[in-house]
Amino acid sequence: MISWFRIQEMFRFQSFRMYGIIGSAVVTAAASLALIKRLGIKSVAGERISIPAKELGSGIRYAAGGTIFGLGWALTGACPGPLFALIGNGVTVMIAAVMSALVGTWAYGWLRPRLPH
Amino acid sequence: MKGGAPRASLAFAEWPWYVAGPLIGLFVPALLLVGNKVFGISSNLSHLCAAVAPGKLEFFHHDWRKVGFWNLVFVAGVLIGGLLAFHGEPPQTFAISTETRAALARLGIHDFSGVAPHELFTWHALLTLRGFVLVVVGGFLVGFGTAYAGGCTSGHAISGLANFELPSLIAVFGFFAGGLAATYFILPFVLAGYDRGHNFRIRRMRSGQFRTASSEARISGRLPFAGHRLWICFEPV
Repeated sequence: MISWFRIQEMFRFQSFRMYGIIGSAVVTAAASLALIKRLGIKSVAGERISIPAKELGSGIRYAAGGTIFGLGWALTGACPGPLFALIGNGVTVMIAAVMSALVGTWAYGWLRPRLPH
Repeated sequence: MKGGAPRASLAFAEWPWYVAGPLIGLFVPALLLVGNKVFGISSNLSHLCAAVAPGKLEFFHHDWRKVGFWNLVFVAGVLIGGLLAFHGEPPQTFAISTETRAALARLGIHDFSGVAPHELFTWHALLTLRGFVLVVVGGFLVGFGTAYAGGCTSGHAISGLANFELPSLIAVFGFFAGGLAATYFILPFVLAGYDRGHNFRIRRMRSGQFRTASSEARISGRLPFAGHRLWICFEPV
């Protein structure tokens, strides 16, 4: 899952694996959420479980931000979780990728007032 | 250490998708039940920014200790997990589909061992333009894009879709639009001439000059810029 090659397989539609992982993760999560809502299960601290709904707005941030992340996902072969796992796996140059991702996040924070959302 | 090795390979071999996927999916209810938090990894980047260099930017003026502590602990765990997997086993070679191998071989990648192409993801390769594009530019886009979209694969593709949220569906379409564009348009361009030890540089050339240029220069995907006078060429470096 953390392999650059696996991400290439996925974007070339040449393996079911990543789709299987993401698909079954979504189904498992959706089923658990439905169960939590139906049974009114509370968190360990006794709070009502709530998922704050994301604001749609114009939708531009999701389309544009998503596309920008997608470009980076295919180039680095890693999304934010695997980025850290790869460092642990000995691909230490990913430290540079994380640093760069931090600069990218900071750049967003800086440009945020000027970007459409 | 008899008996240690088989256990290690059981723990760190690549799990089948129907085991890995549901386990990842279970993070969503687990985090909600334990801490009433929504599963999403990319926000650790903005928490780190908030912790290290918030500047005067409103985006980073949140209480990262309260909101994001679990998130930072989570990525620390991911890093340590990777470390354990790495030390448990020699770098493993995954069974990559033959079509993907063929497609990547056409781009000059022939070593499929480990978790990323060896010659591209090293500190040394950072100094080449292609290494810089893959690691530094790619990393920047991951950080900028996830912050702009407000989530990544975990926050949107898993938590968001599982909660049937339209914004997340739009974001996931974006992920694939970007990923496909990078795979089919940027990678071939960045990696062209890679196995011949070539790197690309930008050179001004007239169309006529381009026609008589060396065959090395001509393997470029010829991208005309600025009135067809600027070409990107691949040359030995």
